[in-house]
Amino acid sequence: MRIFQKLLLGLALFGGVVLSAPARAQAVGSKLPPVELEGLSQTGAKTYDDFLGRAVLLEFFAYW
Amino acid sequence: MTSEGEGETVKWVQSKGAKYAYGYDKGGKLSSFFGISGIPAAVLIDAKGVVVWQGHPGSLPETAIAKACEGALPKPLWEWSPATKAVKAALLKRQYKVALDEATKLAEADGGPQILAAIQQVIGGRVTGLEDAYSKGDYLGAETAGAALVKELAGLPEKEKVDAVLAKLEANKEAGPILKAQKQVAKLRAAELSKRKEREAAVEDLLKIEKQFPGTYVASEAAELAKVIKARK
Repeated sequence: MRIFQKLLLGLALFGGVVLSAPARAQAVGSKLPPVELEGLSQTGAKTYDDFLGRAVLLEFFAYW
Repeated sequence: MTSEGEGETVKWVQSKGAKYAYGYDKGGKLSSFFGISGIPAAVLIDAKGVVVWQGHPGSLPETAIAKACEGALPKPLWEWSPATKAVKAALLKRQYKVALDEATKLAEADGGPQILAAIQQVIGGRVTGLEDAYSKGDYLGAETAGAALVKELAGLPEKEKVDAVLAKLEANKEAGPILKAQKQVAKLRAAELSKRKEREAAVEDLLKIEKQFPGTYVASEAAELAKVIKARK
């Protein structure tokens, strides 16, 4: 389980998921573009940049 | 969805007892970048900032997590002592020599030796990643990472390894056409392809690339992307 210590498990993102929108094929292999997240909570990070050098799992979901 | 407001979201997170970090992707920039069309969906980003996996969170393989964590900092930046401010600032600017120089000034109580080792590990991981990219024929990945590392590793001995890979890439006559094809694949990957005809044309182009460069990295990239595009409705 040691590897999980280096992974931010579940940085959940709310918003912006449009269910019928056409989209890019896939982003695997790409560098992440600059990320601007608002209202980061339950973490000591103030911006996404604070996750530098860490593996991050981003999960997109809604509360409903 | 944020259309319901932060209040509802916070209540929901609390009611579920969720402990993970969360934030708001206002305007949906990130979900648009990843082409998220249904939820739940997840994306794994490795310690070098590269997207290494995307899919349903329930199907995330543990091997992908292990690989993504290779070379990761053992502690997140916000857990470092206040004395590490200059190191953090340099890391955020990707100025690794400055980061190492500042880290050597840190006391043991501030985690100096661990931070120094962690930064060296990050540097080593980035250089190995570049060398691996070249070895497996991912010339675009090598070119992109190399261009960034030349600046980021200025003043460090590791830069010589970067220069060596870039020199090999430059001298490799087979790499040119493959690099061009990889750029074409990357362009198609970034395209919205909202119309069926656009997707069909993209698949055709990708299959041509696969045929033109059999057994290469770009051929596998093209084949994989063609499969993903074909699966879209």
